Amino acid sequence: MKPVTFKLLLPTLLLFCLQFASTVMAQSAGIELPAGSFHSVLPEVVGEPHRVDIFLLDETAVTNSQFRQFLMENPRWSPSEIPALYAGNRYLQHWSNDGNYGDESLADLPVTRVSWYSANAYCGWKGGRLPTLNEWEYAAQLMHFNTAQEENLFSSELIGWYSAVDAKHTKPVGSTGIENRYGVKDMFGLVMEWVEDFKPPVATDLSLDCGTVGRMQGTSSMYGYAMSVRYITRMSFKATSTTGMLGFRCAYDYPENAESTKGKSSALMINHPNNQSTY
Amino acid sequence: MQNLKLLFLLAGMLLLPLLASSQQTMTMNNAGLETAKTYHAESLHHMNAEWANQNGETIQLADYLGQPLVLVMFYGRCTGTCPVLIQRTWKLYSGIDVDIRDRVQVLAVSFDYKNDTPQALKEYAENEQLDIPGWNFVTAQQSDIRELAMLLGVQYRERSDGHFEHSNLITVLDAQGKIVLRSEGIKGGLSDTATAIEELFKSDLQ
Repeated sequence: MKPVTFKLLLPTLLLFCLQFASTVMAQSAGIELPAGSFHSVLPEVVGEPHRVDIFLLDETAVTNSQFRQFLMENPRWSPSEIPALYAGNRYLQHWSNDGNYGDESLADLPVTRVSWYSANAYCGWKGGRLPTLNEWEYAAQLMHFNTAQEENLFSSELIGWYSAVDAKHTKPVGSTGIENRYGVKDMFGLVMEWVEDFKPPVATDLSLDCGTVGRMQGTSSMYGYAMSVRYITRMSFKATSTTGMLGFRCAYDYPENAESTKGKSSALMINHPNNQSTY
Repeated sequence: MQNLKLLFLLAGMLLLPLLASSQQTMTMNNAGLETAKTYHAESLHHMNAEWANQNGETIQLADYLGQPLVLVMFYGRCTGTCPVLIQRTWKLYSGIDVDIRDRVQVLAVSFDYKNDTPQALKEYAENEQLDIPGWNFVTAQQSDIRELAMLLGVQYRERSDGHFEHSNLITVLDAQGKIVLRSEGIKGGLSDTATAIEELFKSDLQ
């Protein structure tokens, strides 16, 4: 009897370990978002919304403690060693010591005052990259609203938030209670986030005046207006910018040979803000 | 007397770890100073990315310390402007004085990290008849390619059909790795750029 139990026990244990390992991996590799398309405020070919392939996105923004780990393993990105080429002189200025944020109560706050270069390097170190502008915007539009009214209310709060991102009183990641349909958290209400191509090729043709905001708006919805504010704010950044309202999260290519749980071709189509029929 | 000895002993015990730690910080500072000394503040030689060329060899930008470098970003499957951009780089190269040309290094960096493997780059270089000494066609991990593009001011974006929208830019770095010349677009003469590269080599000799 005994050897049989043992024979059974080993594969069970192995299976358990594998399952555990895959859960851990899934956590560190971000949340899977299906392929789809969306309308942005940038010009697009009529009838051809921006397409996004399946990819993975971090659940939350990168925290102070995660970024400290990166600096410990990559001291060339610490404030004392980083060349001026890669970051402005306010890089991690709010941390108490070089490469350390000090007070442990700050561990779970999103890291801010990081340049695009340092965010890009962090994500590379994690085996990923920064999300593209389209990926970020697509994920941000995967929100669930029960009614158009609910969406409008959310959007008007959003405009208020964008007009005064509070860089001095940042809250821990995951604390906003805002998440998209797949569980990606705090894309609004915490910090603004770096994207890989924050100045898309079209950006050179646009200037940051009120007329541009009006033109970019395109649709008259509140959400469209909040989005324009976000696009325009983002275009004003430089890659060496290190402001207190700017953090980041990482994205990952979908592994080539992996089997998607949500289907690679489930092409999700987001129609809002200009198509109310999605409700 | 006994007390004094004890005091020394105590002081020694206290000071030793202090000394040890201060030595550590000193070596760390030295390392920091060294990098600052070796590379100019705006030098692209600060990049520590490892690039793989068409022969599978590893290249770092700092390898070019002491010599000017012509940099161009492209992608191999490009049927639109890229062959033009690479051919334009060739035109620039061949316009440089024969005595200097052999010493000119060209680094062509692909944005297409998924398709432009060293093997694919080898085929590309051979097709373009540019698998020649001094010319390296390279790829790297995506975040390194992005970093270089950002440093150069090259904008690119992968479209959903797998092709890229991108700037057409040839950049020249001086011997210290600083950007000294940017030639944008795919039209217009290149003789001024060629002359400027020759000057870089001449000033380097002095």
